[in-house]
Parts: sequence; structure tokens; C-alpha cells
Amino acid sequence: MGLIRRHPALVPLLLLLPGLVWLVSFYLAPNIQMFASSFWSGTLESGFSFSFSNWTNYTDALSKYQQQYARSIEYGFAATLICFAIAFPLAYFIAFKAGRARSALLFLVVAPFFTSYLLRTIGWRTILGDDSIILGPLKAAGLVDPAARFLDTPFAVIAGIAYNFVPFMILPIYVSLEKIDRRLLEAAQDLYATSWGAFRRVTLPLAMPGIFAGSLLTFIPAIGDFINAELLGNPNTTMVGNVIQRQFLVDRDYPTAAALSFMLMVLILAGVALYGRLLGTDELTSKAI
Amino acid sequence: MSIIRKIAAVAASRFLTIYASLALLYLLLPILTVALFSFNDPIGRSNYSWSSFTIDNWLSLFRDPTLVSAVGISLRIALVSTIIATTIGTLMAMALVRYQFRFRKALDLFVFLPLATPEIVLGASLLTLFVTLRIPLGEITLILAHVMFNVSYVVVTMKARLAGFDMRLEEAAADLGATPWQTFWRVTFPLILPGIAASAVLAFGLSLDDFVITRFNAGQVQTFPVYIYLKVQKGIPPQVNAFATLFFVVTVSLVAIGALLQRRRANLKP
Amino acid sequence: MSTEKKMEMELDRRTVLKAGAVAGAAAFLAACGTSGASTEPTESTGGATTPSAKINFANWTYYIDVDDGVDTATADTSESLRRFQAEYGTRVNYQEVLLDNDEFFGTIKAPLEAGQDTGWDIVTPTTWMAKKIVDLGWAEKFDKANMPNFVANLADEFKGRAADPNNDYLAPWQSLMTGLGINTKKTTRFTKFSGLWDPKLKGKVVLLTELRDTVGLVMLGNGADPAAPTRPTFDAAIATLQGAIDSGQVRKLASQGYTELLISDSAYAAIAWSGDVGIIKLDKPELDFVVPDEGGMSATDNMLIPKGAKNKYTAELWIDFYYRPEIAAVVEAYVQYICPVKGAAEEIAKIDPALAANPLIFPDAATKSRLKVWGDVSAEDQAYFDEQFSGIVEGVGG
Repeated sequence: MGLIRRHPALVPLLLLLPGLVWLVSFYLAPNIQMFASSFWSGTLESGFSFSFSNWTNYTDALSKYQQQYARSIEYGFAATLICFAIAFPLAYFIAFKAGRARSALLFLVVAPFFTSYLLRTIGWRTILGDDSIILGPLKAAGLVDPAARFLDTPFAVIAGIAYNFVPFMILPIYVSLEKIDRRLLEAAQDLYATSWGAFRRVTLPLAMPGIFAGSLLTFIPAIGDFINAELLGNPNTTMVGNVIQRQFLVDRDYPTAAALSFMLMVLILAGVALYGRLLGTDELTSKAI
Repeated sequence: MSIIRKIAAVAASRFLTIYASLALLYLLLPILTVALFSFNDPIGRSNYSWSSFTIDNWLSLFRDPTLVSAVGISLRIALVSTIIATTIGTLMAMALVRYQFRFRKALDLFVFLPLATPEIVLGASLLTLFVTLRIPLGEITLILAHVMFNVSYVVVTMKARLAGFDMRLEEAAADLGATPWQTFWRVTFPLILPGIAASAVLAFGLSLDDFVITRFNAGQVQTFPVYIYLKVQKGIPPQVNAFATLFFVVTVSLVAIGALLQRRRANLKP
Repeated sequence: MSTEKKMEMELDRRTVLKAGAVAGAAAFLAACGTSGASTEPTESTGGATTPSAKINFANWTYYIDVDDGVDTATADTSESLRRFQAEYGTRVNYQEVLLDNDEFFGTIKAPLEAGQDTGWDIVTPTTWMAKKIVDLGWAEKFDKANMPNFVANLADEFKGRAADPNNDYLAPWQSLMTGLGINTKKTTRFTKFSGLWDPKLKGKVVLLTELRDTVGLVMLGNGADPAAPTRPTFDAAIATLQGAIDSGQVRKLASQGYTELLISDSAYAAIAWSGDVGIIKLDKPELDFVVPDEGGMSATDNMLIPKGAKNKYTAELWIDFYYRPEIAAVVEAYVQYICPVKGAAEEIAKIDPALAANPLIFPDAATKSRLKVWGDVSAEDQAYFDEQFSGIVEGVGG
């Protein structure tokens, strides 16, 4: 206590220390190490050796798997858009119309986390099945080609990804909407005369930080995902995550896997930076959630 | 004119309600499916297609000792990692929100980075670290990993809560002669408690549900999601659905009770 | 279960998990080329004549009998394991940890290389992987004096195999056939492999993500011999596969839960394992297992005692115990693969006569003659095959 009183500047340092140590040890260090392993050559059987000349690991991996990168971006983008379309009205409803049920509804949004990611995704297999509650009646009524299917198509993969990450979109949008001063909205109603005008000129701009954060928090896990493509897709819907997973766990080609991982991270960080630039939001992290 | 506008407003509001209900249904539909299939009497070992209704799976919830142990391990890891992550994450958030110091912005970004890193990269890189350091894979490595990804979520959530915190309350307490320690426990802590609770719930859920990072760092420990993954190959026993449904019902009830208690306490205050 | 028993089980689990984890970590280390100091080889208790209190047995999932309603076999939930404990006082620490030959090999490679105990007394790799382990000198030689049942009851077709000519290292656990699983209600039954490419089955075909099974069957369909694969015949099979995927004929490649697609009618035909079809057939009789006219694949998983195993003698006792027809019958009645134990058919008839007549468990000689085992090729060729097939699974060519 005496020390702290004499050096008040130490307080933030002490508060930060445990978390910082944890993140440096278990986030930064392993990532640096993995970066190094992307410059290995060799195989599991013969052993690996490091050399900067192995930068070709990157070019080789990129040329072989460019399609998977493109697809990850495409699916991630589509899923983020779907998430937004679902999340914004729901968040708006919870923030402004739900009254006392607000916190209950909000919790229901996070509640899927308490079952199981794998089980929920498998649940989609049941829902989207060829003769499921959705397709079955449509086919029976002759409205849909009997050979039509959702399952094991890009559609199912994108829908699965959107479903799994939509809470990450809803929460930040809700927080930004909820913070808006009601008096401001009333004033806007008077000023712009229509509720649409008020919404467009006041609500939406004030919700932008939440939309921004939500899109990031959705897009990032979406493009790194592999479970949905594995369980709901087919061989031509594989994403970078599927390749990384297989390279790490089945083929055990660690250098390629590491190079693929790093390119994915760089891609995401570049996307985050670009997105921040475009929206003119510097204080990116403080706006998240 | 104003009547039309009113009708339009009512229609928009109705539409919003319907849309929001559908969105919520979309969120809950797979969970309902999971719950429904806990009452299925499956064909063979594969519990994906509806066959006939039974409550046997609930009566025999504890019949597979490996499943029970997996559930226990998952709950234990979630509990421990939530406590650690919420504590150190809250401290970090306080430092980041309430103090000015050099590199604060850089630190903000650094804390955000784990959220920007795909899970598969987090999992794989941690595995490399543990192996190099010869830390045997198991519950300990899982706790280390789960705390790591949860810290960032806690910090980000807590920062949002702390940003709206009225610092004058603490100053008032200090003026009245409270020590910093007393101020924290009597003033600050109760005020940020809802935020802490929200972060803890999120962290607990994320830990309980984590599969990707866990898959890489579990060694031969079977958590609930790992058990499911091992069984997907040949068929997931319906008791798994029963446990997942139970998790869902219990958390929903706990949160509901918490909300009721809070409301009652608020009503009791003059 | 008594508390004491429970604690004991917990303790067992933990010790083994730790051992396994260390082994896995060490494997990775060796892979990084920073292999640590090797310790003295553990002396295996070769001369022991008293059964140990426990043995550690790593096996695939759903590969031993389990009590009704239980899903994971342990010393308490499996009749064969319970009977072994009753007779010898040895608790089998049975762990369903094998998901993939390569992946598992990765976890035991480093300790074997360093002359250390892997933590396992019995593991059950598929023959090609088992051969690799034997050739590297990493398997314990059986002391057949301890194994009279094994000597007497090993089915003839498993004698003198190239991987183990004198049956010194490998004791077959189960054999399985790879063929076609066909839903005869949704499509007409066919016996030619090319039936899989019938346009009527478009989008209703699922294939395995296992190289030897899927490519093996496609090669047979192409008229090539998977017992002697070459780059040209392999490439031709890959081209066939790629074409069937790109045209939408093949709906999915699956390892996990291809059975689910058959059960839910998402797929009407699949490359399938005999035992799986046998189990599903109980509830879905329209599902048929067919070994195509062109031939099917066969593979065997073998019990092997890794070098330096702590409880070699007791492991031999277990192997020999399994080779008693009445015990093999208990296991077989549950797993429904092909049993390598002579006399098991008679014993299984006592449990359920229908099982003894089941061609999936006891295929006739004509069927057996049409089964092929994936051939051994040079390491370079196999690496090439692996890479090409990974490309298919990863969707690189699509």
C-alpha cells in the first residue's frame, strides 16, 4: 500500500499486469513461435528445420489454396450481411419495444452458447434435411422439385455460419441503441416529422459504432470457421479453416498450416484496418461491444 | 395525412414485432431441435432422424460414465477459467478506462487482437507452445487457453460498462474518509457488479461451448464438446441432447432467478 | 458403484491421461527437431508371471461390447472387460482414443523413438500402420507360451501375412469389409460399382474420407488393382472421383457420420463399412451391404504391444483371453465386424443364431476372395497418394 501511495502511476500497471502476462504468454508468444514455424521445411518423419528461404511456404500455400481463401471471404461476407439483416431489427426491438422483457430477451440471444456448438449445427442438419419440416411439405405440395436440397450446399454453410455468430452482431448493436438518449429521439421525431427521417438521421448514425463492432465480431470468426463447412457443406465448399485443420491434424504439414494461418490473420487484420479507415472510426476497440 | 402516418407507424411496429419474433425463432430453432431429440428413440446409434418418443434418455441420463465425466470436466474448466478471466479482465478494463498512460491505445488494440484471431490459429499456436515448454496437455492447458480467449471478451464487455461509470461517487466516498479499499468494495464493486455478472455469464458460456481451441489442447481429456466430436463419427447418444437441454434450461432459470432477485431488491429500496 | 471403486477409476484415468498427453507432446517435440534428452529405455516386464493390477488398452470407438444403454466401454460397462477382471484381477483401462491411424501414431512415435513407454500396453492400428511399427522394431514380440488360445484359434487367413509372417507381433482384433451401403427402398439394388454413378442417384451418394477405402473401391471399379497401386492407376481413380464430385453426383465426403446420411435418407448409396451397415440394418432393414462385383476392400485392426510396455505379460493374457471363442463371441455380438477367432461362430450361435448366419460377420469364401487389401508402396508413392487424396478432401481440384 505504501508503495502505491508513493507511486500512484503504478496502479494501472498493477491492474494490467496479470492480464498482460497471461496474454503475452498464451497469445503473443505462441503466435510468434508459430510464425517461426511457417519458415520450416521438412516433414514430421524426417524432422523440421528453419530457414528464411522457406518463405516459399507462403507462396506455395497461397497458390494452392487461393480458392479456399476467396470462398472464406465470400461466405464470411454473405454471413455477415445475413447476420446484420437479422440482428438489427431484433436489437432495435429489444432496445426500444421490449419493455420489461428486455433483459430476458437479451439473455435468450446469448443462450445458444449454453447448449453446444456442435449439437446446434447438427440440429441444422435435421432442420434443413431433404425431407425435413421445411422441405418436406413443400415437396409434398409439389411446390419444389423433389430433387431440391439445402443440405450439403453453400447455402447451408452460409446459413450455419450466420446462425452460429449472429449473437456477436446483436449484442453490440443493442448496446449502441440502448445508449441513445430517448429525449434525443423525441426531439428528432419533432424535427424531421417522420419516424423514418428520425431513424435515418439520428438512430442509425448513433448505432454505427455497434454495427461496426458487430460486423467485425461476426466476420472474423466466420471466415476462420471450419465446422459449418465440414458438417453442412460438400467437398466444393471447403474454407481455409478446413484446410488448416486438415494440415494440422491429419496431414501434419505444420509449416504449410502455419503459413496458411498467418495469411488468414493478416487478411483479417488488413480487413479490420481498412474497415476502420472507411468508416473513419479510430477508436475501434473501445467501440466493440 | 396524419391518419395514414399513424397507420403506417402501427404497421411498421407490427412488422417489427413479427420480424423480431421470427429472428428469435431462428435463434432458438436448433436448440428446440436439440431438446426435441433428447426425447427421440433413435434408429441404431445415430440420433438425427425422428423415430419415436421416449423419456428413457432422461431417465438414463447418467448411464454412460464417460459422458458424465466429460460434463463434469467441462463444468469445472468453465468455472475455473471464468473466475480467473473475469477477475483479471475486470482489473485490466479498469486500468484501460480510468487511467491515462503511455501505450494505452496500443494496449487497447493488443487486447482486441485475440478476438481478431481465428480460433483455429489460437488453438494450433497454443499447442505448439505447450509442447515446446513440455507442459502436458490436459485440464491445466485447457484452463490456460480458455482464460486467454475469455480475458479479451471480459475486457471488451467491462470497458463498455465502466465507460458510463460516474467517478464522482468514488470521489464522494473518498471525501467522506473511506480508504481506497473501502471505496472499492462499498462503492465501485456493487456498481460494476452487473457488468461483472454479464461478463462472467458470457465467459462461462464461451468456455463450456468451446470446441476448436479445446480440440487442439485437450490431450486425451474429454470435455463435453470433445466427447460429442468423438461420438459424431458413429452416432451421438441421445443423453448428450438431454445434457445440452439441461444446460440450457438451468442457465435460463438461473439468469431468470437472478433478474427477479435484482428486481425485488430494487423494489425494496426506498 | 462404490466410492472407493470410483476413486480408483478416476485415479487410473488421470494417470493414463497424463501419460498419454506427455507422449503426444513429446511426439510433437521430436517433430520440431528439438527432441530432448532420451532417457534409459524402460525395462518391459518380460519375465513377469503374475497379472498386473491394470493394463492400458487404446482402441477405436464402438469397438468392444458395451452394456445396453451405455455408450462408452470401461472396465465397468463391458462384459468382456469385466470377465477379464473377475478372472485375473486386472482392470483394463480401456480408452476409445483412436480416431485416425496417422494421428494416433503421431502421439506414440516420440516415446518409442526415445525407447520410452508409450503409456499403452495394447494398441490396435490397422495392418498397414501396424506393419510400419513392427518394421521400425517398435512392437514387443509375443511370448506364445502365454497365449495358447491365440495359437490355436487364430483364423487361417490371418496366418503368414506379409506384415507379420510368423504372427509374432500382431493379433487381429477385427476385420472389416468396405463395400457399398444401398438403400433398396429408394433405389434398385445394384452390384456393379458403376451403379454409384447412375444419374438417378445424383446428389445422393456419400463417400468416405479414407484414402484406402474410397480410392481402393474406385480403383476396383476402374478395373485397377488396389493391392498394387501405381501412380497412373491412382491418378485415374482421383480423376474419376473429382469428376463425380464436380458433377454433383457425390453429395459429400464424410468420415464422421456418413451413417447419418444413410439413416436420414440424405444419401441412398454410400461407400460403407460392413459393421456399420449391420448395425443400422437392425432398425432400417432396407439398407443392404454389397461387395461390388469388381471387388471390395478389406482391412484388419490388430492388437499390438508397443515396445517398452509396462505390462507385457498381462497384455498377452488379455489377447489370449480374447482368443477364447466364447469371449470373442461376446465382443462380436456387439461390434458385428469380421471375427478373426476360430470357433466364435459356434459360440455366437448360442447367443443369437441369426448372428452366426450373418454374412457381414461371417462372410462366405466367395465374398472373401473378392476382397483386396491396399498394397504397400514406397514411402514417396504413399506420400504422393496422401497429398492427392487430401486435395480431393480439401476441395482443391474443384
